Amino acid sequence: MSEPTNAVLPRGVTQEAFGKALEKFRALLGDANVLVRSEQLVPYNKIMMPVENAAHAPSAALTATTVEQIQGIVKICNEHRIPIYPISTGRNFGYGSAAPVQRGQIILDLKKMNKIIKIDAEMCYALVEPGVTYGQLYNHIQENKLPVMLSFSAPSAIAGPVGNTMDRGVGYTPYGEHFMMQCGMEVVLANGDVYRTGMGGVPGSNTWQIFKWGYGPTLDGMFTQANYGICTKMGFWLMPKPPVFKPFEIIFENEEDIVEIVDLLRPLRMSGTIPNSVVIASTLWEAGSAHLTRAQYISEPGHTPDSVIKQMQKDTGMGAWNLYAALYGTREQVDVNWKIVTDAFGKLGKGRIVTAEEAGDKQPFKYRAELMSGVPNLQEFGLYNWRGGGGSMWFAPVSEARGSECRKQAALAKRILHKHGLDYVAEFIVAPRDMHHVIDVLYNRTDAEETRRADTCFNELLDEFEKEGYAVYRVNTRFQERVARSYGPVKRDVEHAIKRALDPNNVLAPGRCGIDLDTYRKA
Amino acid sequence: QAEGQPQWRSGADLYNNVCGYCHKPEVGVGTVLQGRELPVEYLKIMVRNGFNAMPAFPASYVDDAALGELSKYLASLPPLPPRPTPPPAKA
Repeated sequence: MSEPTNAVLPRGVTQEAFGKALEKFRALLGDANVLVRSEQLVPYNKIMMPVENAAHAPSAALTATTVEQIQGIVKICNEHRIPIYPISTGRNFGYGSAAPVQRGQIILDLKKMNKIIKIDAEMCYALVEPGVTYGQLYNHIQENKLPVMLSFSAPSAIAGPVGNTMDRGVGYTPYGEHFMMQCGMEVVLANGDVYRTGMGGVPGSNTWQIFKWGYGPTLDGMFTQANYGICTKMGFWLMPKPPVFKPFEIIFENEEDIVEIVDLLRPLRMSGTIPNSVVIASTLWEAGSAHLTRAQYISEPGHTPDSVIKQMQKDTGMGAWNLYAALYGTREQVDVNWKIVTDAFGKLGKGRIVTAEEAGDKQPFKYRAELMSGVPNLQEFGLYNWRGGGGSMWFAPVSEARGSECRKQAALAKRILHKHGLDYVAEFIVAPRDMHHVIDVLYNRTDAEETRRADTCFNELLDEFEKEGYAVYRVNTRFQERVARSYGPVKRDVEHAIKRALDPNNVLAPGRCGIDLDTYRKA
Repeated sequence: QAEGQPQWRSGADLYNNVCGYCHKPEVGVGTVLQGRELPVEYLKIMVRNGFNAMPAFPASYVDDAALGELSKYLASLPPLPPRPTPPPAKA
């Protein structure tokens, strides 16, 4: 039997207690599913955050495939006060990846728990286990010629619906607000109980994936971005595959155009004329996803000068803002809405419309069209090559979908990023009323000085946005405690009261979203 | 996957459903791997550790047996020239 070799222990847990827990985990799961050697754990420790790996090193990892095993694991955790950090597919790049929020936590890796329990092609829903990936679902749908389509984040093929939805991630189709389209959840609670939300608790029920709320308090939301339970099954609705899909792009020349773009787009999103989560990508996001790199244009340190960006626009035809959207439905529906869209943007007198026919197989149009129709690709990982070196954090403030607000946020972010020698690489993901203003804080993590700058920069972005009343919708594990403070003390008190009630031993991912009974003190 | 079943159906299956999404020559997020006779030990180091922009994959996602199959499959593909040099900067 292999002994731990990475010399990391969970916080407040003695070597002896840890050893006893490991023995019990082995008896429960078998040796092969209890990982303690450093070479087994190093893959979980790959992070893109500006901090050394040790800060988020796990003490061990467990792989489980059944609800009963997970119940057994939480029992052992309670006996020895072992904190565990559950992951599903663990592809949370820019938000902490697969590494635990606190050093020493044991990773509960559910990747191998990967059954597609059901896809109902008439009622259009899926019920899946945590390890199911979008790639796996996509292949299943294709092989069985099911008339449904997926929605997913850009890491698509290798990411999965449970993990993404537990962090309330987003996609690019009309079903792009993933938590909104989620229906029915099963969680193992810290006391070992198996709780099903919505209609799931009713014996013989066939409406778990049909009606969200059930009866009484509806708790699905309480489990997302939280540490109150371990999700072991999740249902979600699927969009029926439409007869016609018409992706398009509109390219705008100037940074200031964002005001008119957003104000023109909002009514089209609000009315459902454009039904999907539209994106408006900045030049450098567009460049990164088209696989241009900074080194092709400039080698000087610091932020990429505006003159260089203008030159890139000129060379490539990319705009200051690059809007991607799509229409869905019958030919007639698409034609009617296409006229409304082209008329609206035609009146604006700026913006060059590009259709799929014009774009052909050209990138980044192609990958955008695929994401907007649920076809997986990883083209957008080109962003990580812009500066290279493995440094990336998402700074994703929420904004009104109001032009003046978007301009204000973009200018504020750009000023702070430039101060620290980094670039404004961003897109707005557009809902009818809100924007996920997604900014990729890209830096070279192999450069210690640049890494320190990135860390300071992220702190300052949070601080300065907070002064204007803005906060992020999601954040990497290094900043989860910090961001919890943005939302005020009353919310945190409530969250910790719930934590005490459901997980008195603080064994489920303490620190996740700032919820931790050991460190939190009521203000 | 069912108990005792291989994690990936073949080296091609793993390549087409994971690695190829970045490494196929027509994508170009990662470097071309095909036909380079990269030893399985090298692939394993890169996959387990990750490397700069490339994420790591635990064995629960891609196990050693699958990496062995991947290595054979990559060797069976014809080598390609490295992706074309991007246009020079026009400052």
